[in-house]
Amino acid sequence: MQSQRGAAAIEFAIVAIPLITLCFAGLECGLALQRFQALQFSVAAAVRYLSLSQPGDSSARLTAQCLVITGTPNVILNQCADTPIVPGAQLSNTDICDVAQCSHAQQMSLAGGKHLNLVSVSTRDIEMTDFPQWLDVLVFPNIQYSLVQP
Amino acid sequence: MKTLNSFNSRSLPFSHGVQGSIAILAALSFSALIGMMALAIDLTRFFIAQNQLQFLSDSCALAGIAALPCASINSTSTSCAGMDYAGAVEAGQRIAQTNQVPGNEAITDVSFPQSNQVQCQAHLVGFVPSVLQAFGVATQNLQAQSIATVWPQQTSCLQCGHSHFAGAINSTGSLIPVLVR
Repeated sequence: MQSQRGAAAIEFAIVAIPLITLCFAGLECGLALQRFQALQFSVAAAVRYLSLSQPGDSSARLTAQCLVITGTPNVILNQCADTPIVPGAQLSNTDICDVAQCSHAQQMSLAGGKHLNLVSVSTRDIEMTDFPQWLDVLVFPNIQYSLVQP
Repeated sequence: MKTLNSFNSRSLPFSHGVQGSIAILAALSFSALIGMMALAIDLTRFFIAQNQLQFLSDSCALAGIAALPCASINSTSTSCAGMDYAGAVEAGQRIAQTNQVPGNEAITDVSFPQSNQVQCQAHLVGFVPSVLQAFGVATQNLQAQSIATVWPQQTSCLQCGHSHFAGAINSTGSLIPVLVR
């Protein structure tokens, strides 16, 4: 009869590889979903912030961009003061479109002849770069929200 | 190893030998792990869709309240006539279209609980929990509601060309300030 010493260790070694991979995949997946949800909240906060400012207000625009990227409105020397929600995300990953920048596309004409100004905030190509290098880089779906602006 | 082997052979009555018992345990734990991951992903998708629907509803109420004052606008006059309920409905529904939940079609109803309020109710029918559907979970219906009120309480039309504060109260009771012109 063959010795069975070490059989369990070998079996465990075989099983451990996919098991640990699955555990890390779950963790990364949870992290990605949490960051996406945080981005969603921050875009909503940014567009609400802009809905109270005048179109073309560059200071409000920068604050809103920082709200999207960091989740806070803190700006120091034309830079966002806090760390990004998604590491590596930059101001260039946000688009803000109001009546001063996108002209007719951001005006809603109603049947009664009334016009409402719109402002929209969107994210563009924000990547989850801290995924393991051997995995493809995850790009978050773009988020876009619009509201009425004065 | 001796302890583990004796544990396996005692605790698993269906195992006739020690070899392969870890494979059975692994298969069981993989199934449980994958099931929990599927549940977590689907629940997160559900909450993301619910948040998007709530924003859609909020934006509808805010657009409606912005369009509500001044049924008619005359650029040479600062006065306006009545509340523009048709305009509020149109504005609310059009911005709701702009903020649609990706991959789903939400239906938005605009109503007026009081003469100075706009209420938006958004329904998303047939949200599919993609992973859990395989386990027999049926499609879900989501809904969100927002009410925007012209503040201060005002039942007559606002003066055209002047800014007024309005508040939009969402379903969680938080007040979102908004400027109405």
